[in-house]
Amino acid sequence: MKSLLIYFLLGYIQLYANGRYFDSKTVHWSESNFNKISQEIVSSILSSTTIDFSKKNICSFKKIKNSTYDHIDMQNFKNIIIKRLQKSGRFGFENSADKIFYGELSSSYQTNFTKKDMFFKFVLNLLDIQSGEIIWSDTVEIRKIHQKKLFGW
Amino acid sequence: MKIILKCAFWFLVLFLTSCSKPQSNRNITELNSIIVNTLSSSKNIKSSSISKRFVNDLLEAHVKVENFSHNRYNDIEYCFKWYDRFGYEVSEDLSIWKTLFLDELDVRNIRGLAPIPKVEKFRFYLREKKESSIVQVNPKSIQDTDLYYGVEELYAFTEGMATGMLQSEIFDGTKVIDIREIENRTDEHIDTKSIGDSIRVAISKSGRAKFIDYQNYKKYIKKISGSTLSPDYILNGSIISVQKRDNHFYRITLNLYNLKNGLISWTDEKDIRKRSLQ
Repeated sequence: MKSLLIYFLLGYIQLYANGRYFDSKTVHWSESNFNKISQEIVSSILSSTTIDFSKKNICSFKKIKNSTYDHIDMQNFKNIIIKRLQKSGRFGFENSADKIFYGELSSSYQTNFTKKDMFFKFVLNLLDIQSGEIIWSDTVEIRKIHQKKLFGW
Repeated sequence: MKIILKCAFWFLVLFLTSCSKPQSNRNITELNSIIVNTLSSSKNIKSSSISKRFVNDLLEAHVKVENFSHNRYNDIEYCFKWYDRFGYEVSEDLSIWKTLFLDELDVRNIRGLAPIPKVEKFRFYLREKKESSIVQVNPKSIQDTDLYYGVEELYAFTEGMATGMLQSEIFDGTKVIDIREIENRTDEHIDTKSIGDSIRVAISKSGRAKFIDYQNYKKYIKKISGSTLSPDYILNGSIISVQKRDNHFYRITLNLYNLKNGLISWTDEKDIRKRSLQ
């Protein structure tokens, strides 16, 4: 009986350790949202027509502001986006460059008797420091709904 | 005799394994890219017409998904997997499952962009999502959870304003616009900066104007160089609300000031009234 329990526990831990993300049980910010937003924003950057891809773009990644009510590890979020951009081979990152990425994550939460409604909006801008022009800008949105049960939990 | 028996045995094994496999249809096209659709046939969703092209040297895949039924779905997931010239999967950690939102009789063209340059083939997977208490919905769907300012208003305001602006002849692709504060004159918390961001994204995607962000630009720059763009127009505005017990009213007004002559070149407003039936 004991060994069976340990077996299940280990299996459970292993699933998490493998980095297979589950759809969360909460409307709040979860690990899978990191992946979805970073994947969409990076594919938007790489298919942009306003960024010049003829040479490697050297950028620096400034702050992503957290304007949500949740506690979110924004450093981790930044690193996921940087990793994806670097893997594409089109971007290099250093501390002080002429082009800077900066962004903001905001949320909106509404609730009534039957549901919880959470909305996350991420906006990222690429700014050219020399001219001050925003070369590229895009948003990614996520909306999660939890239908409350009147009986039970 | 032995050989015939052996053959019959293996034939039986093959037959049984092919029967036990889940129902799936694989369409192999001349592009050597594959659609794997494991949805149950009761859903009546068909995926067809693969096409691909190269955008900025990266493979861009397009798959058409059609919903032939009169139901709406938000419990379907899709995923692109990417392969190099030799058929090896590349960067598995960068392929993730995403929710697909399908309306009644909807036709969606799903686009996937390869994460790295050397990709030449792809596979497109469609599957059903596991039951969970949280559902991801299309952000633009109307939920109307309560009477206060919410996501529906954000989309209605930004889309109404952006389409109104793009109809004006001011936006010819050469003007430089700076989006300043949209004042929140209501008594609730409204993220008005988010409205400005969405308007900027909508217009800059159309390529009809250039944008500078003076507030943030100042923060990041140390020395002001001579090549800095100066704004031709400044956009600002306000949101007001009138709240009654069973209905709420919101109005957004935006003004575009011409900095050369000080005139308001364009102005527009949009109203929303929400009423509770309870």
